[in-house]
Amino acid sequence: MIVSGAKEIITTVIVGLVLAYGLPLGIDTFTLTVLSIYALLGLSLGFIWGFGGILCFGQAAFFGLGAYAYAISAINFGTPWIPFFLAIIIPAIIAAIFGGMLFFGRLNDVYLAVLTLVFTLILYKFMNVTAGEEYVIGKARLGGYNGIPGFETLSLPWDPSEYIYGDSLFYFSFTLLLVVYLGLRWLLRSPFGRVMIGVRENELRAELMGYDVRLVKTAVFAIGGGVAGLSGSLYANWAEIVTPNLFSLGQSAEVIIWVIVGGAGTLFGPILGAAIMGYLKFLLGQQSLIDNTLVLGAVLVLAVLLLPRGIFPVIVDAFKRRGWKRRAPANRPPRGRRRRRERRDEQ
Amino acid sequence: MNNSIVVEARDLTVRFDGVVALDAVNLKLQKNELRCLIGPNGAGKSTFFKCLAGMQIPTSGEMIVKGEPTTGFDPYRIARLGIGIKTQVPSVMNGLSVKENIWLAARRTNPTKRANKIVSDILDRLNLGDLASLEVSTLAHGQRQIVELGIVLAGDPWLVLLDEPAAGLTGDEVERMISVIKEINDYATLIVVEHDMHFIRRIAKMVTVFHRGRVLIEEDVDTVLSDPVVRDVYLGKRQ
Repeated sequence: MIVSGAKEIITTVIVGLVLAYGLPLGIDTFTLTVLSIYALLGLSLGFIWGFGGILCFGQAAFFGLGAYAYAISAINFGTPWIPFFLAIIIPAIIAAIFGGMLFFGRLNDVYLAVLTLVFTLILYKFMNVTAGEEYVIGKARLGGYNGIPGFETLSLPWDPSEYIYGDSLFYFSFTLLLVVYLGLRWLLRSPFGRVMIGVRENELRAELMGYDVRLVKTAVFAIGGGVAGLSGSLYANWAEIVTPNLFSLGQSAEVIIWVIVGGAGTLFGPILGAAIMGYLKFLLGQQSLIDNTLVLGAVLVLAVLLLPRGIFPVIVDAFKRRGWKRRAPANRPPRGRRRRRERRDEQ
Repeated sequence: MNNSIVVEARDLTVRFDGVVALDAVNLKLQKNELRCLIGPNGAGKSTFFKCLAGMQIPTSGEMIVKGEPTTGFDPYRIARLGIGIKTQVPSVMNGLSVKENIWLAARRTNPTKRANKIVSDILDRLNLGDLASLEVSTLAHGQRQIVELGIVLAGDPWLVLLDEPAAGLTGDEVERMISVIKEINDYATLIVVEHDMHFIRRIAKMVTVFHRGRVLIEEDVDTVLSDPVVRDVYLGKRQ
């Protein structure tokens, strides 16, 4: 276990280094930064959906909350690093409270999906009407649909005049992506992670074993909220403005598409999905011949029809056929074959 | 004498809209007893089982376990009292290996190392060694039943509830199930809900017969099985 863990860390770091040096040769770091940020956001949903079995239609809510938490506290504190951590903690706490209400109310499946969707829409609508002067948190005006510009962005902790932007913001975001990825891998190997996968597999059995499923799911949801918040705060630093569009329906839907296309039930799949779809969107944005949502929609439909498990599992399988060793069954996607089997059991 | 009563149902009633599934059932269970609950379909035995397991909240009445009222407890709180539950349809974690399934049950109350030890003990005890690393979804129904039993045992329960443990088992597996049940009964109290009369005959001491949501008769197994009323009820003859 420890040996394979070390091997995994080394592999991830090597792949990360290759990508960090290789990618900027082909794509500018400004785009790569936002792709890394999207990848983090995709990772947050991939974690709670693929491993916690929680389908959240409103992951953008925590992304937006992270961005707003950063912007608002950066204006109030005037320094970037306290806001940076607040932007992780605040969304995580809000996710814990909101998720707690859902899970302790024993809401599941479609009800959960709808409520998370409504949650992000409420934030979207609310943030849009906060243009008036009365909407102020400390020194920060919420600014309605214009959003909040002009906050302090990240700088070196020992030299506040050295801002982290451009290339360095990419390396910073990319490193965080690797760290979070490894952290989540570690979490999944820990007893908590195994219980969490057990809950995904069979909630009733986990309960009958004596695990408080509601608590486990709330914790998973909060971790996902924290990661999405981190992603949001990086986004705020990249865009140097936060607007209500971060909470929009489109943003939430996109995250789900990344995870589906990349491969739910894996951690790397959502990263890959976010990067591919994000880059595709960026390329499509440069032309006006065809509406880009149409193309992205078509990609989703094709992925669901042709690669229902997502891109990454298909790649892994292709390598496995060439003699790679079998992966742990815990990484199997929570869809497809298993569903049929459950239905068979119910009969 | 009162101390040895570990489970007590007082006027337990469950109504689903108009249907009365359980009608003021009173039932007492002694420590280390092996009690079988039988009855035709819809007699209420499974509903009773679910009330005890925390999977069904009774409309009225009380369930008392070791002197503590447990009515309306969630399943995880019931499980934490030291009660192991095997459901009617095997409730296992399909996507995980046999070993992982049992490990999760053992790990809840034990540190990792001890949990690993418990898992290997149980795999030996239930003869599951060869299947340990297989995904549960690939197993036959009977094997899944045994895996679920392993999960239950890993929690080291003092009270074991088994809902139709013999369903779908092969002859050999039934024999193994019978010996395991008898073994468990050496140190734990058992409640077994079962349809299979041959199976009941092999294991039962005291039998409670449910009929139309009520307890029809509660006697030792020979008396019950030779009772003409029970036969009529069970076989649905001469109403």
